[in-house]
Amino acid sequence: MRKPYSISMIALLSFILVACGKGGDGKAVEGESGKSAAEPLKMVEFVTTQDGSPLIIKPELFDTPAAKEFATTGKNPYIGNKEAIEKGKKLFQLYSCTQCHGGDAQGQTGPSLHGPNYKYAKNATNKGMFETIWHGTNGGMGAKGKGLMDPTDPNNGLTPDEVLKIIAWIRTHGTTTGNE
Amino acid sequence: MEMSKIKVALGVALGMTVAMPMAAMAAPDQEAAIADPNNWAHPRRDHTNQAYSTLTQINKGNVKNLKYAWTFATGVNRGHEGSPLVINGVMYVHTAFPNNVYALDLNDNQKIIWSYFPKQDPSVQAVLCCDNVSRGLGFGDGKIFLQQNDGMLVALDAKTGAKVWEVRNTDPKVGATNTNAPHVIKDKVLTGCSGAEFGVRCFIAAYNIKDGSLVWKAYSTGPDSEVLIGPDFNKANPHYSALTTYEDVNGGNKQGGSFKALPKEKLKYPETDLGVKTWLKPQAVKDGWQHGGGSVWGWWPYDPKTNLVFYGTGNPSVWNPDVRPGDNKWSMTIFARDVDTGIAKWGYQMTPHDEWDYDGINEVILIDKGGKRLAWHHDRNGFLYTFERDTGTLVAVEKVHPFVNWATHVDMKSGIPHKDPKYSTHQDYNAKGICPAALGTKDQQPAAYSPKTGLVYTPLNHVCMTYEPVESKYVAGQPWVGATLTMFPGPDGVMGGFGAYDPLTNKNVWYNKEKFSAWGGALVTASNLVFYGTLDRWFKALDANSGKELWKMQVGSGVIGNAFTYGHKGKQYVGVLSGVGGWAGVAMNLGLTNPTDALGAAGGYAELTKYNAAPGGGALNVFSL
Repeated sequence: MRKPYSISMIALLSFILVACGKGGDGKAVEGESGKSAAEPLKMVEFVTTQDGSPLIIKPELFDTPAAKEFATTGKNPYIGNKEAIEKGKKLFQLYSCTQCHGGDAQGQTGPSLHGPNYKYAKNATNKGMFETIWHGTNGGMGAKGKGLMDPTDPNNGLTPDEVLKIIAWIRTHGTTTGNE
Repeated sequence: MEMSKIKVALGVALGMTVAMPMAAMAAPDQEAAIADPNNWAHPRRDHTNQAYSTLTQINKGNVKNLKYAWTFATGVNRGHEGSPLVINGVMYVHTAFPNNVYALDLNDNQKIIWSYFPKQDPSVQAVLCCDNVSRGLGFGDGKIFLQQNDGMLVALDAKTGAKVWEVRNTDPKVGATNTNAPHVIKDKVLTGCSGAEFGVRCFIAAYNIKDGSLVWKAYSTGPDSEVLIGPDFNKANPHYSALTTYEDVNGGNKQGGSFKALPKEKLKYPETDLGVKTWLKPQAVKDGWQHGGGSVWGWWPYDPKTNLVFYGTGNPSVWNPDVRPGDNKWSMTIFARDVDTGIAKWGYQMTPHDEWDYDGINEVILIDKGGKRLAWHHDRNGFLYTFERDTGTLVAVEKVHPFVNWATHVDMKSGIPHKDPKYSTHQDYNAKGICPAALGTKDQQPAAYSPKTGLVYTPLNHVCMTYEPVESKYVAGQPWVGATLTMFPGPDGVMGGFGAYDPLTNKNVWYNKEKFSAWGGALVTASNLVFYGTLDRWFKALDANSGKELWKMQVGSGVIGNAFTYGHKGKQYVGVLSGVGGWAGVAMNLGLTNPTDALGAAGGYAELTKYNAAPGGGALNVFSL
């Protein structure tokens, strides 16, 4: 379990070093490239739902404007976005989340995701729910994040953008948006 | 090539039987235990699966005086299915996950003689589709057999509880688990496989009772050599081995499409390797049969005269029918197999190309009536089937209740159900008003048969559904469902029932409505009493002739276990495990409160929370006069 973290930790560190290097040579502090180089420095600190230990996610996986915004703010821009919600529902079915959480995320063999009382209190925030989906739980749910979901295929699993869409759909069932 | 391999295996098995006649009767202690009417030494009392007891001390006249004799809290929550075993003054009790076992001394205040606490990874619970139940234990050769949820088959010394051997039967890492009771038949212990909601390729397996070595394994899908289908398969009814049973209407597997049953004259048969050929391309995954489901977890009878064991296979994976064109054999099939070799004598698919998750796993009951040797089966799809058990020939097929609407009838000549196009299900289309729901007119709860009345007694679900197949992606070890459904009470306005039927005709004799699905297994005794439990906590005794309720007592939690009886020191006892759960109760165990939620299983069952604390607490309840 520890090994993949340390590898991605090294990757992140070198990314930060490169970014610092870029910033340090006094160039590229404005425009698109400057922006993307600066973002990882401001990334929110993700933690696992299992034990709260640091959760390192490759910055390059946050590859859409919404995912980038989430990575830096912890807010889910897809909340209330009809198109994203529709896609989120499809993804919820595509990965058979329905098997445990029910067709409407109301709970079946796994807990309800409607809130306001969540099995893991942190799921009340979009950052918390993102971490739970990405890295799994101690309650039996496996990690769904890209590279973690399927040990036989590093490209399998949900991208951050897809996780945010699923969360946007899940939030349509509750009274809170998770961005509060 | 593969056929000759089977022949060799068959030859070896036959040779061994001749050379070592003892091999055929390697569990004489089981035979002796079953022969004593005071015992309950097999999951459904004996190999007929009838759950019929000749004990008559409790009768119609005195049943009203039945009182609690003793109870035993299992210390485990959630669904408690199956029943304990009783062998010569010792009762063996199993529990839901983590599948603890207790041996209780009936001669000394039900004191615990030994206990066994399996160490199972808690994550196994996440790959059990419909609650972490166990359906009981097996006995033979001085051993108690436990099939753990995590796939380990364990043999324990019946006297001490010491582990004699264990073997891995299924692998939860790929989503394969177990819920069935191990069935000891002769010198073998048979067990199955669950996981059709995880894209598992399931099987039934026979292990050597002495050391746990694998004797044979028969898959539900794949080539004949792995399904253990030999040249004489379906000899009496070769049309059961037809390549296709339907022709597509309006494109078949798409919205608006449906399937028209072919008459027997138009069938192409017999065909081989149907476990491969009936998974037409393209499937959701390459070679759909490799992840084709066909779970095996029922109650399995055995006929010593023909040496055949009978069982049903579950749904094809995935629940979305559009992405697995073809009949999807041999899911949804009743098989009769030779116990020594595993070779199938006959196989009949009840729901070709399933569109509703009508698992065919429900039990077969062996019945001798009207000079006929019969096999009776109440399928989830809502039909009652009676077969000639030596050949598989259909004797009678009827709807158990007129609300069954996915098919108009079963063509007795071809054996094919005529599907109603109105209830065909397709991707991204929410088909409404389908009866019965996926949990069937009966689910795991086994029926009983009385040779005295000549009737079968079956618990009933009365639930309908909407069913929407959706696109879903297969990932090993993760759920793979492919449909969302909602369930609601059927036209009778209740969710269950309990009825008596004549197995020669499958016509109803009497029928009682139940508020909730009657999810507990039935027991019938020679004094013409029928016992079963309900989800709203009642344990009942009925008059087997009329269905009239003669006695009831409320237990601690809803009943999904099987009623059983035994005798001890001249006294007759009846008992049942309580502990609500299973598919019907699983959502309740998670504290569901919103009755309008579109639940897979819980929608109509939301009111269960008014009758049960959650999660359901497991307990054994024993009654006597």
